[in-house]
Amino acid sequence: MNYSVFSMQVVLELQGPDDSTYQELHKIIRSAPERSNYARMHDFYGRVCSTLRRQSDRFEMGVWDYWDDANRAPKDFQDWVDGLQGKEARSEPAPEDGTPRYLACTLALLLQNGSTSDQRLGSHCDITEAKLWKKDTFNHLLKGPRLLNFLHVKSDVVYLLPGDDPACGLTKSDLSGQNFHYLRQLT
Amino acid sequence: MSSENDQNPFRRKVMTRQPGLIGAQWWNEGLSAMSDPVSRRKALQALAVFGGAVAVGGFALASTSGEDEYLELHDALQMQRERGWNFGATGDSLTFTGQTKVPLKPQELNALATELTPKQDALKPFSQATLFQSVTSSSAGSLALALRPIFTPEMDTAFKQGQALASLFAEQPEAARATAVLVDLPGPEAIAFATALAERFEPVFTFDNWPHPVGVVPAHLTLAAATYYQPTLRELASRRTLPAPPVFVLDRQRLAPYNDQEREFDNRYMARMPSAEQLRKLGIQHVMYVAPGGKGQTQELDDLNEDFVAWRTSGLDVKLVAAKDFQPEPATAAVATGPGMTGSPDGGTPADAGTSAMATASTPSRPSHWYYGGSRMAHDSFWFIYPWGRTHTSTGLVHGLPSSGILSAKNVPQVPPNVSKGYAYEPQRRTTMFSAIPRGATGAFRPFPSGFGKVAMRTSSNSRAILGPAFSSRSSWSRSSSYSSSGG
Repeated sequence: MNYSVFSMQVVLELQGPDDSTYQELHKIIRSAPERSNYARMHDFYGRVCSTLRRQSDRFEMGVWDYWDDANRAPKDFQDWVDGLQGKEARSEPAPEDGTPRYLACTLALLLQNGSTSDQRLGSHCDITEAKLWKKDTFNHLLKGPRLLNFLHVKSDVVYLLPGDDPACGLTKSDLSGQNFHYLRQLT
Repeated sequence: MSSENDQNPFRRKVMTRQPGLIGAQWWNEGLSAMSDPVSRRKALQALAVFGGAVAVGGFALASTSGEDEYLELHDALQMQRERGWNFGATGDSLTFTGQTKVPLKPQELNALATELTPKQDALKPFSQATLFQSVTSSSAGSLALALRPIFTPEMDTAFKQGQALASLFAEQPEAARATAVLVDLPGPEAIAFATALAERFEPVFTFDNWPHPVGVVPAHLTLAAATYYQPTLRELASRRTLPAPPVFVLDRQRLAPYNDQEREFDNRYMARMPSAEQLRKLGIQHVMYVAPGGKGQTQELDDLNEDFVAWRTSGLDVKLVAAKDFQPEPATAAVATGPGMTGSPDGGTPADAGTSAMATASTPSRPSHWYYGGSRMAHDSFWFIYPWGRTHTSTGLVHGLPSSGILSAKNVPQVPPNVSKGYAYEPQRRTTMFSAIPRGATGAFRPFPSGFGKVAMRTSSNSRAILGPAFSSRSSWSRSSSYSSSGG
């Protein structure tokens, strides 16, 4: 079976440790069941994406990809899965210096290549070059998972930085480092 | 599959909760169940797709020996160096076509890598002696014993075609000094063609693999052809005037289709070319790419596309000529000839190709006359069609031909009808398996296809020890193992 991959990572400035977006995303991920069916997975990603879309004007940086190349998709997906190991995450809060802290939310979906879901998502991701790095584009793309029948999703991953400790938000320095070299400023 | 799986096919595979990160990954076991049961072939295919980490790909192998195994991709050449050139297929032998009676002297074999390394320091960085080093490596073992020099009719043809091109450069020594030739033909023919150019051009071999009995790239034939031409190349090297322009020698089989992961060994590799800046430092202004010609054979191979486009963009003039553009004159076409023939074609330019030393590699035969377009008249039109010499200006004013005296503008030659349109070739960027053009927005540069030039090795889940290759039908795994999908 060949695969396609859709992935996105967005960065928002945290509005303090009680940031409602962070709290909501944390709750959605924390409460996700160990076992799930297609409908619940559809709903799960719908909630994640809706939460983010409501805040799309706060998106500061981001990246997204859609590949239907069988040679690339699994590897790309694995690159995102590897993020679960926490290499990019802070293990402890950065010293308080009055500068902003950020959250980064990542999702990636490995799809059955050529399935109807894949075709729908592929069409949805047909973005002109001039709009690749627009907040509105990211908002639009976050509607994509709603188009999917999770029957065609082989694997999926979602994660949020910071994790259980909101004080472990990312700093500007973190985001400009090598771990996040691929991020682009959104306009 | 249990009813739990039927009802809830998504299983959470990973859940991470740290101060700095919370996240999870799920795996759809239902989608896996829709496909065929995981077979050895599927495991290997998945491994190729996943590009090196079967633990990632999720195909665990339950061995009957009681030890769990998984597949891991390793660099194919590195595995050969560690385990022997023919590991996994020691019972298979190499097959040579066109074996000659030319004796293979051990001392010459030992000198192969040294003798075929460019003499000019400026060219050494672009030479790949990997293939030639294979016969002297400590892990080469029986390779040297198995090796036989070969000379085939195709090599004979390629040599004559190379002679014809050499004769053209003999007419235009200044153009020759500013030209890098890339000969991209099947390995043995590439060596034959390049040998014919080797008095004026310095061969730069780019063979970056080792032979293997079940290798998809028949590198042993290239090696065998190299041993055949080694004395000729040695002689021509001593006669070559330095500095000499390069002729890069490429094996067109380097990207051979790799379809059967069970029975084939992936000894493919990519050609590595100099940058435009490096070529300019060598005094190069033109690049002549020699492709076989014929259907689908008049375009650069995929791994060269980005280099060629970059060269063109930087102002280098990249043109193609098909080997098939060089044909025997009809009157002599039926004459059988041997390799390294130094026949004197009607007192014309091929006789002056500077290849008299090539007799060392020849067998007795009668001469034939090979020309661009298959005739002397077409041959003389070459530098008008490829206007790198001093015979043509942008206004179309003809100054003259060295071999024919001054011509008038009325005598401007026409393009022969039986040649390729390589003179009009311009490299164009296209999507290949090596392209780094992103479909999305990351712009991430990923030049190497997953699984390319790799070999799947069975690895112990417990000790991480490599147990053996997965490609051979003789492996114990293929006989006794069963497989299960453990999720990615």
